[in-house]
Amino acid sequence: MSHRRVNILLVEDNHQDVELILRALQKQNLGGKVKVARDGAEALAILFPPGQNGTDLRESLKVIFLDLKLPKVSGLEVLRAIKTDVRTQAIPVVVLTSSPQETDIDECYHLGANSYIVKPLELDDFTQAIAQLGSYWVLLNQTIPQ
Amino acid sequence: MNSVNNKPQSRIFFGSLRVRAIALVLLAIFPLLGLTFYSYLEQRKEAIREVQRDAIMVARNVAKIQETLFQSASQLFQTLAQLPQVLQKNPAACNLLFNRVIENHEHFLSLLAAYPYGDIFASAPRSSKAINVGDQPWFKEVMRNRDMVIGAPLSGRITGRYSLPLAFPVHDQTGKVMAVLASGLDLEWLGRFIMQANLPKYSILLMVDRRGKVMFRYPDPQKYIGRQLPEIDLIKTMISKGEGVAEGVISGVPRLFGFARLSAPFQDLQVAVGIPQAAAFASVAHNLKRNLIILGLVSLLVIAAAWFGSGFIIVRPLKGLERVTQQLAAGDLTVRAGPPYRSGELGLLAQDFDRMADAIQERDNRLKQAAAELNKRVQELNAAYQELESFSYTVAHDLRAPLRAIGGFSRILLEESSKNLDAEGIRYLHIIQKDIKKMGNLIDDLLTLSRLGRRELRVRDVDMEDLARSVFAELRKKEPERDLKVIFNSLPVGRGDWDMLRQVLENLLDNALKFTRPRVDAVIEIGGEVSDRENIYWVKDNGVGFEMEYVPKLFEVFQRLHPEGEFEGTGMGLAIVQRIIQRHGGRVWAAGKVGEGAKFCFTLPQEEAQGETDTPVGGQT
Repeated sequence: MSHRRVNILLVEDNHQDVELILRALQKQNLGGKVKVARDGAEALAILFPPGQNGTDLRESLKVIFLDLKLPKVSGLEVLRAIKTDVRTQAIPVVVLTSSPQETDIDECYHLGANSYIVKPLELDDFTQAIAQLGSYWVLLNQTIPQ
Repeated sequence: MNSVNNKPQSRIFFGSLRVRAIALVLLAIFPLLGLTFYSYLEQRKEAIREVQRDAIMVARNVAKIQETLFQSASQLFQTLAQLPQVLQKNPAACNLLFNRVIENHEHFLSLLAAYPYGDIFASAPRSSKAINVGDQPWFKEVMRNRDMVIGAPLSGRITGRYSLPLAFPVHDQTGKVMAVLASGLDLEWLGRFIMQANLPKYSILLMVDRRGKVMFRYPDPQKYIGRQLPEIDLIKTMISKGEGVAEGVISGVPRLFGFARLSAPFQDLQVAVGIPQAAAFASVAHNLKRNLIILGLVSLLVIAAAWFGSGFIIVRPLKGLERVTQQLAAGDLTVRAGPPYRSGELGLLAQDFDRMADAIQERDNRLKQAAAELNKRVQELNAAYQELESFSYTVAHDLRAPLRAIGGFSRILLEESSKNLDAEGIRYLHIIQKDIKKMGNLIDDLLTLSRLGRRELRVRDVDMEDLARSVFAELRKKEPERDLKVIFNSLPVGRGDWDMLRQVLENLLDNALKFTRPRVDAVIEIGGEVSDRENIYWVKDNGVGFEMEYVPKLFEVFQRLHPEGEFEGTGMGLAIVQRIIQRHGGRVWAAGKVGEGAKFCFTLPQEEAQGETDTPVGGQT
């Protein structure tokens, strides 16, 4: 497993959204650096594999795109797990969701989310938003040096 | 604890039923006291009458006895005057005779015979000296009157005892006075008589003649006998009335007197008996004292009975009732004063109290039932609300995701694979694109509407005119090429949630812009005014208008008055406006006419405490 090149962890259960997101990231040449988790449990398994593994991945990650409505373990619980664990709490988390609910926004920021994006409905808006997110968080934003 | 205890103690004391009961008892005792004194006064009068009756009776008896003594003396003198020893003026024989007489008559202290010139020729008891009585007033008088004379009392020359001199003339055949017989009538018997008459201590006896000269007085005869005392009121009364009763002060002691006159020929003399008033009143005063003591004791008993009795009869049941009342006031609605109930007013009061408590308890039960029902409804409502919320979440998330996919992929198809499609296929894809956008708007509006129920109002002063201008400018950017006239009247500052009011103005102005689009001379006017208790705002246009009969439908969700092709929109705008204004406690209404335009009005309350009529029931989830 070469985690070394994984910069983005996309946690999203909707296949169509995954495809649209990946398509948008592709345009920024970031498509190959994405790891996809289909639910919350899978995301946690990737971030915290059994044993001492997973350090490489965690070190190469520059951002986590997190949907809130997920099967098994919800996005809020994943967020809480990431932000309360010393190994992951420094990784920026962008909540990427269809829910414009104020309670969700409120709770996410209090749990430590770095950004909260409501997915635009229009393809152009959506593609542009994802492309901006990718270029900002992966290319522009500076994370803690390894 | 309660307000009663905060009152001044004195008010409780004097107002307490117990003290009042005692006051009543005292009130009842006062007439008894009055009656006691009245009877005392009556008894006093009666005692005075009785004592005076006694006094006058004794006085009459004394007068009678004195009279009898005078008569027997007169008879004795008449008899002696015919005896030869006296007629012959034989001293030795007379001495003998006189001695026998005074031995047999205890009232005659002495007896003597004298010549008309005054020399005594015989006497008993016998005197060794030759005595002349010619200068004595009674002697002079008998010589002048030639009949029996009663002289002024004197302390006897012979006996040393008080006596009343009696003198009697002895006539010869020619009627000339040839000798005078005289006797000293003992007065001391009067004192003895009074002492034996069983009269009260310090009673006095007085005998006077008609000139006010004291003939005898008991006690202390030596002080008064022979003195002339006509000035004493009592003696004046005696002399003028003859017989009767009187009151007077003699020797500093108030006394009651009864007096009588001797009958003729001794009517010059009068007898009075005086009894000290104190003696007369002694028994009456004693009665009064006894009655007062009894009354006092009875009063004390009655007061004690009233004190303890009122405690048992009134205060205790009232305290019980008061305790029950306090328990009821404290919230224990099950307390009752009975049964059993006492008889009388307190029992009725307790029964009335219990009826009241029953009524309160029943009402309380009904209230509790109503509250429970209400609570159940609220919970049902809460549950329904939760459901609605999760529904809106589902709409937001689950509906938008597939919509985005449909939109996204149809767009990609249009962009990347359009060379494989004919013109008709491309047209279909455009239709899909347009409807997806419409559905997206619908979902957004639905979410907005559902959020309105939950979001808390952040009320503050809102410059409505400024807000309207900025909203309008924003909307105007969408169709900058349109030629239309807009009139901004001044709008009063309103109180409300800035974001929500912005939404209201946006929806209303958006409608105005939309429905004036067919007109070339479109005019939109915005205005407002301050009314009694609320601010009124309105947006008027000269657009296509509507039929007034459809007004009720205007503000309903998804209601449209125009075919979809004609004007875009979800049919939610006015529903959102109404929801927001209702949450602010205001009203919304509309007026319009087909082809002439429409006017939409809404109000905002001026009061700070404006009614948020339907606060969110679900709370945050």
